[in-house]
Amino acid sequence: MTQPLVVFDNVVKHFGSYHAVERMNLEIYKGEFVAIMGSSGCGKTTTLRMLAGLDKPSEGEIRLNGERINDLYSWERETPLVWQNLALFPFLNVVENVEFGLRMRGMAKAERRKKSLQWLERLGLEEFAMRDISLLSGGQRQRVALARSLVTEPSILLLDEPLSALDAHLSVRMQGVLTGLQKDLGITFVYVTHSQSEAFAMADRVVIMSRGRVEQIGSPKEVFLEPHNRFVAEFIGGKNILCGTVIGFDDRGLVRVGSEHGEFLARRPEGKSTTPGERVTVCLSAEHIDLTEHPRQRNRLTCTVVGEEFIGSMVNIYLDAGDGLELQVQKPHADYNRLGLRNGQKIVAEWDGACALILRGD
Amino acid sequence: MMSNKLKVSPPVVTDGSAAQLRGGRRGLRLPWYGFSFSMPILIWQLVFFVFPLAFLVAISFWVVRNFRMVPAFEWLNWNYMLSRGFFWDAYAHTLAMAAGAAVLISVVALPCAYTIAFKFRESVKQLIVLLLITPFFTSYLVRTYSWQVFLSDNGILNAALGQFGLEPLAMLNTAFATYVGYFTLCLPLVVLLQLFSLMYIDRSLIEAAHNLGCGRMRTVFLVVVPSARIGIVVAALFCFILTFGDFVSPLYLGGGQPPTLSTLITDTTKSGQQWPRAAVIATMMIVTLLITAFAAVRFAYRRRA
Repeated sequence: MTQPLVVFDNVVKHFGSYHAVERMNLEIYKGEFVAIMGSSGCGKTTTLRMLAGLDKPSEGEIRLNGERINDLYSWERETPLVWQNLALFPFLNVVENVEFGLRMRGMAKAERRKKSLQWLERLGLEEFAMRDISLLSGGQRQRVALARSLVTEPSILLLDEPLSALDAHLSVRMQGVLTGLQKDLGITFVYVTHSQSEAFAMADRVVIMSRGRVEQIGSPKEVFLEPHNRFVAEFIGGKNILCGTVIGFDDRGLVRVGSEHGEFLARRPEGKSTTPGERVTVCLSAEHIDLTEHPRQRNRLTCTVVGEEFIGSMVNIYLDAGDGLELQVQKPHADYNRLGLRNGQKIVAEWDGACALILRGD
Repeated sequence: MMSNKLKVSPPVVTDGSAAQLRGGRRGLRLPWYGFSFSMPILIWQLVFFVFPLAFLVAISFWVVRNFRMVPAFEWLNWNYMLSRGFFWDAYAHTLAMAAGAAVLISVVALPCAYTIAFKFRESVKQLIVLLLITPFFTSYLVRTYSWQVFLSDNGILNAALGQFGLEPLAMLNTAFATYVGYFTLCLPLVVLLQLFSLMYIDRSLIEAAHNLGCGRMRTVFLVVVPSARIGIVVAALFCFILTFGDFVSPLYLGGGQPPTLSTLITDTTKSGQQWPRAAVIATMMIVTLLITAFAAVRFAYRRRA
């Protein structure tokens, strides 16, 4: 394994009595697109700011290229950041904004102007070079901010929710621009977002944080298919959570879980052992539940339809399974139409035991 | 005002929908609505600023016969004042003193405002803003007189120097004392105006500069000052206006020599009822201030194409 570009080694950050980041351990490799996500206040932005040198870790060590950077000022390290509000200098025009970093490095005027214009051209902004920042659209400003950070050819780029201010359509287009740039330049992107769709669409690896802790690190696929704990399962959405106690095992190696809603089967994640009597949390994806009047599976619950919601090509169906358990089921429109559900109707929800996953944590 | 509004309402259009009607009315009514609120201040300005100003300019063309002013339209006073060396000396002196004060006080105030804006907690900041307002509770004239007590040859400062066996310094009736007065007059205001513009600088701009390799001092000059430009220029402009027309400090602390334009005005009116000549000086001062203010505001709000 090559040496990681960035290492967070037991990093803690507190502001007074408030613990923003607790015992963060993370390795980021060269050329990776890492997305750090979580809801607001989870410590994702603080993590990024510590890497950029804008906040100093309270404990632990941050290493860049193997060197401790805790005590380096922001202006002493090469960790350009793209701000959520972009933080473009309103008193400078487009090209002056872009060349700011080169000017700080003492590059001659003609040379830095040439280089900045090349970057503007690359991002399709050459005609705006002499414009005032206030005359640009949101998407254009976004690209100016990118050019300003990339013009010094850094080995890493930090992005703090850069797309959150854009409308959905533009945001998707900018995602394409970002991933394209990252692949072309071969540099590391560390991207902070609260949007799961942005993170999953762009990142090689995602880091999910909650209340200052890392909950899970993995590829979007891993996180989606095997969430480590209840928080992650709920955060990525479209998951149902069931609690129960291990009763035993069936002949396929599936775990028999007893709950107040009856007995059902669930799969163990690789490497996790379970013993009878142990409390477990089971996660079941909304798209793995079938609705039928003629059940075939052992895992079933009789439910009442309480609502539905149309999300693009899919329909979310909400079911009341009694005893305070609510299930979410996701079906394509065609299946939903075939079922012809009405609110208040009784229906059986069933699923294959191999699709229900016992979580590693709780 | 009410009757005016009714008059400008469009005639009722019977075939228009209710929505159209409302829209039509709104379009005609709103300018009057806003205008009616700005009327009092406009009238005030007209009566107490524009009219007296016009009168002042008119007086500058009058003549004095047998110590009495006679309405006329003569260039006599203008020719007299603008051809006198002592007028231009006073003009240059006043301009230099005021410009010097604007620059010096701004330069002294900026680090102070910067520290307050960026280094103190919110509660401390509020206290400091309050403290910066308190000097205005006392009349400027009173504060100037108290400086005399400090600065005079056998005043408090010289008594303190005497304790260390030092010779008394002549401070009163010097340009230094005038500047002490100017600082008394302007410094709190300049700090306040600068502070308000510094406080609202987007912090991420400063962080962005750091992040792009710009060290602390450089960030102050390349990001903080340009971001607060409007406030800094307006503060300096206020300082210029206040000191350019000030009569108290140059006379009571500076000793009135060399004379500034405001001392010249009092001297002119006292000697032989020469109000028209004083009006010429006053008009010249107002024109200078208008040009300076216009240029400063243009500079503060300058935008590139």
